[in-house]
Amino acid sequence: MLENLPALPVILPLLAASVAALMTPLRAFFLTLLTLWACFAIAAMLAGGSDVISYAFGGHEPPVGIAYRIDGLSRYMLLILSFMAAAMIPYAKKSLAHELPQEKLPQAYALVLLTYAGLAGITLTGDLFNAYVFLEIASLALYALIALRPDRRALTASLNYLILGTIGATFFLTGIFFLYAMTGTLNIADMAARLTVDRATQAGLAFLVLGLLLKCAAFPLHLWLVGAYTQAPSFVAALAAAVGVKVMLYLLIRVSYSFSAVPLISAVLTATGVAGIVAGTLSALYQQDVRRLLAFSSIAQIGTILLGLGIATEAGLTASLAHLANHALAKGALFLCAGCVIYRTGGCNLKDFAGAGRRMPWTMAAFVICGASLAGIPGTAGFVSKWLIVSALLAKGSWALAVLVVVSSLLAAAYVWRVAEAAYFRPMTGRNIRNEAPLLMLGPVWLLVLANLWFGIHTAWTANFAARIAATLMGGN
Amino acid sequence: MTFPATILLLPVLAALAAFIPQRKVRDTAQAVFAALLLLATLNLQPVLAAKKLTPLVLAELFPGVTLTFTLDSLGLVFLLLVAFLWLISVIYCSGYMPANREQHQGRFHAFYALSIAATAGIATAGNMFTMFLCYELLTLVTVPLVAHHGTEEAKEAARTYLFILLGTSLTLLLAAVVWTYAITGSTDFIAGGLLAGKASPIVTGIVLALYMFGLGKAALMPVHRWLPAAMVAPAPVSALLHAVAVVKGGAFAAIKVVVYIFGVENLAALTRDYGWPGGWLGLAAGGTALLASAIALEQDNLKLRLAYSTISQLALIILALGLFTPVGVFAAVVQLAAHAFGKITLFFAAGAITTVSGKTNVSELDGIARRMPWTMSAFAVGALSMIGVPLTAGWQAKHVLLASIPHGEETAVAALMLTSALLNAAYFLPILVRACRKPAGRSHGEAPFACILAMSLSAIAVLVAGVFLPKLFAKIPAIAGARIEIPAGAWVWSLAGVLGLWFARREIARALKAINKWLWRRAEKVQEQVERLSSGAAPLARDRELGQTALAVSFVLAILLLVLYR
Repeated sequence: MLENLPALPVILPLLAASVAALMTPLRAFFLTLLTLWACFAIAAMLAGGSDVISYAFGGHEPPVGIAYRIDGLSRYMLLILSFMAAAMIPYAKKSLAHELPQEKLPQAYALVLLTYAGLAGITLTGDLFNAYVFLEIASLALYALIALRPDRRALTASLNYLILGTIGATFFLTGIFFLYAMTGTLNIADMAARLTVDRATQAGLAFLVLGLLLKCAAFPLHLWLVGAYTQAPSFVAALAAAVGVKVMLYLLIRVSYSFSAVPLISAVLTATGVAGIVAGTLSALYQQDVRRLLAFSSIAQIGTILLGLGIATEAGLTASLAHLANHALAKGALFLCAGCVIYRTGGCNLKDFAGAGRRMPWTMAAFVICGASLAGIPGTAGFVSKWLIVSALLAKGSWALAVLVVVSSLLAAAYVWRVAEAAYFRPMTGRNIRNEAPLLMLGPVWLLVLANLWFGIHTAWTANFAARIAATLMGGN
Repeated sequence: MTFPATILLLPVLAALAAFIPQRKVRDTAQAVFAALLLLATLNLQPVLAAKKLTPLVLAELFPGVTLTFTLDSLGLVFLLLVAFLWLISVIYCSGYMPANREQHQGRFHAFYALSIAATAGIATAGNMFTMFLCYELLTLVTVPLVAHHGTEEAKEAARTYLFILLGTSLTLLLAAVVWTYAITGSTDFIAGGLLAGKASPIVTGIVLALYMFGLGKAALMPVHRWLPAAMVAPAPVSALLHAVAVVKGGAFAAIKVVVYIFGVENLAALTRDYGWPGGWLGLAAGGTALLASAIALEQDNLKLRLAYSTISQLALIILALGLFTPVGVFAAVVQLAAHAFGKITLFFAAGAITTVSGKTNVSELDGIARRMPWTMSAFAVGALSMIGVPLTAGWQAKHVLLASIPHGEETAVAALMLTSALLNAAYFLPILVRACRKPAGRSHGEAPFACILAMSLSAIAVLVAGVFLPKLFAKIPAIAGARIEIPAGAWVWSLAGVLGLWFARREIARALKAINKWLWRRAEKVQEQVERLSSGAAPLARDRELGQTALAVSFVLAILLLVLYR
């Protein structure tokens, strides 16, 4: 059993998904809950180890068979993913029941499990084509989850996401074809060993990276993200924002550092990162819909992570990896808070937040704290990554970019303040909020809030873990 | 012994106790916690004197950056000051809040106590990182207090407050701290200066500027605008926070930065050799002191006049600091404490006047002293201390400051101080004169007893400090031995300065207003343009028909990547 541990975070949710789809909503919820908690336990057990685990499926050794390869980076990403999923899942019960028709709930839980299975598979697998398969599993489940909401805008958003997501996946697949043609293998480690620098390989990598950039919502390719996050059911939006894109970024990091024989063009990453920070932040400032605001803010934060990668130093990589975790904590909680307001008012505009400060004090306190984390106020998780990225930029001598990051975080404070001002100062109008969100929804939110505060002070599992991974990855050069 | 966390926990517990529904129990609990904080701090004094205090390290965030709390003699003075004035303020609140029928008193007291917790954090921070953290925390927990009334005006003020304070600290101060870390790999407070010998003169000058303007709470012009804005808050907030805890938190941080990050000798040497790395600080502080005083002359609103007076008095702290002498640092600390006692009394009195009579403007105060003799006596003591009349704390602060001036700068600094004192007299004495005139308007009585008690206590503290401080100075050879004389040139200069500022006060106020308006208009224009840009980008961001756009962009990028990969 124990030696099969690496396979379980994928197998368990896949099996559970097929069963959950046939159950009553309540049972499906509990099955999902138990599965995700079990997966978190497994992820935690895996994270305890430090050696590189190779797990060959069905006993077929690579390069012939499909193999999982678990190193520090996989452990880190799987832990973030599983923690976020396990922490947020209790929220789904009330929220999904509120936003989706009753008969679609079992399907929804099944799709959530599939999403998790796909994302977990990406973090674990050592096989490039296998990664593509998991990427499609996760993406298809997400398209379906967004389309489940009985709203025509959700359908358009889902379709848009589907088209762009498929373009991204196709680019990714095309890249794999090129690389397979050149090396004759699909195993990442094997491929890296056989890679030669020539035009075809470069073209392959270009396709691969471009597909991933689309999936990561890097700046000019971010257009699917806003609609998808705004129209998805609150829980799904939170899950996708917290971990969906993060796993794609993981894949980008994995690919670029495995194939470091072909130098990744850090200039492109820096450029899209900077453009994303500017465009995302400025757009977020003028949004009326809070989830759109959060979505644009996500684009800016993804830009920050890409900028960290673009620095191409160990400090920069550390900052990016730490920000993967810290941003997941903050943004997940913020989307959940927005979901709480939707649960009570049915809307998510700034005007729906009017009076929320008084009637939903816990929700709004959570929003403000996580917003502070987004803006990188000291004492929160967001500050840790901001400190890392600014010092990485200063160490490289990029003054202008450091100023940009600092200013963008100030503007993040500005857009969070807009929401806070609406919640605390606007008089209540029209649809009055009667009372606080249910405890089952507040629990996960506050767990994440406490995590935001905890990781703002204790960096052993974020920055230090990230630093070790970065040292390993850069040491491989 | 390790630094006891109780110092930080007591105000936090007080914040929890603020939600006790019975008003009397709650107020008593607040007072008890304040007294306990004072006792706990006093208890630490012998440990500190024996040098047996070890820092409390809570966590290590990055290599060399820890969350550490400890106490040094500088911090002890500040902490004692804050704890003592918190106790007095709690007494004042128990009279002021019910008399003004303030809403949400539980919330108010909770954030009030949390501000004290954050201030205690600043006082006991063991390194610059911890101080930065507590500094930001203080900004955040005071915003609900500024916005307490929830009116449109309060909202606008809270916005200004938040943006200037967060804007300066999250950009300039953060840059300064990270830069310090990048140079030294640490943020520790080191005697003699962390950056001493490690940073070039250019870098030292820039980082010093980043620190001094990043510490927006010290209200050095042009980052002072949050302080007048914060005056919409209830009087106890203006009194304790915007005359003591918040502004002094900034000034205290500035002192710590100069002493432990740069080192007094280091800055003095650099300034002597190169002039500008530290030389600008005295000019900026002096300019702020004079300009703020000139603006205060023009304010009819009593609290606004007090706010601009605070800005000018804070600038004197920075001025003393900017002399870069050990005695100058001592003078800064004395000025910090002396101003705290005096200004809190003034704000208490202003709040009491508004409570009883509803008057907020100086021009309405005719004969107020006949109706509120106690309040106005306390006010008079505070005002005389601001001016620096002998036997008050303010005079002693000026005394030390004069003793700390390095050779060669006597005339300039003394002239500046004289001018500032005369301007203080020019805007405080008319209030006292007016107060003694024939009463006008409807009749009313004295302030609530608790308010009078609090005011009297702080006024007595001003007088006691005025009498007691010389005994302390006698023990310090550098001050006791210093001959204080004001050069004749200083008199001439200051007389000219006062007359000039007095006659030009309207023009100065108008010019500053015009500059301000121009800046706001610029900012609004930029905002408009950004808005237009983003609304221009909006059709692009709509959820429809994006497939093709994105596809096109993808191909363009693909080609780009291919080219770049060559």
